Amino acid sequence: MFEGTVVNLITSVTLVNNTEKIIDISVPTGERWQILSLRFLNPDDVQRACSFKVFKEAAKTNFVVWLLAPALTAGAAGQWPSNTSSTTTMTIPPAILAEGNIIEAKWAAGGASAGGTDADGLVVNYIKRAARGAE
Amino acid sequence: MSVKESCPYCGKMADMQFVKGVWKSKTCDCGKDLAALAKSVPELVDEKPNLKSQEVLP
Repeated sequence: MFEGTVVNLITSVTLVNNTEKIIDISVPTGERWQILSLRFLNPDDVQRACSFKVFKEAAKTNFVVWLLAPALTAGAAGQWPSNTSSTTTMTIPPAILAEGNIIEAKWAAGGASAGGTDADGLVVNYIKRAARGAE
Repeated sequence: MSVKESCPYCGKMADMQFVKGVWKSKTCDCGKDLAALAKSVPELVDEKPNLKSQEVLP
């Protein structure tokens, strides 16, 4: 049985000289998301350490799970899930997010650079379902 | 749904706008136009195959 709607959430990413970048995506009220994949790029001309985390709420007080923490060279792409073994990140699915959860995508400052932008620098592929069921 | 990005000018989280299927930058509450900033930096262009022959075909 298959239920829900597949969504490709596409976000442009702009990085500027030696400055950290964060993009927060929130799961709306009344929805739960099953994350199928994350795809992300480094549009800058220097290496950027990236991080993808899930927090319980918008204030980002409670850290739920760390999905991936790759270092991307200039122009490189990364993807989750990954076969990279790690004890600090969750490299394999499932990642089911509740309403109010936040996906935090971060590109750390990478030193002096020209900066760069990519129209689809972050793509979250997920199944959207209604947030219902027994508590 | 809410998608926000950090503003490199003020450091706060700024709302992004949904345009033609893509979440894009817009003006931050601090007054800086982040869409203009995106246009001011180099764009990452995906490599595309050259499908045209380099030779004269019969």
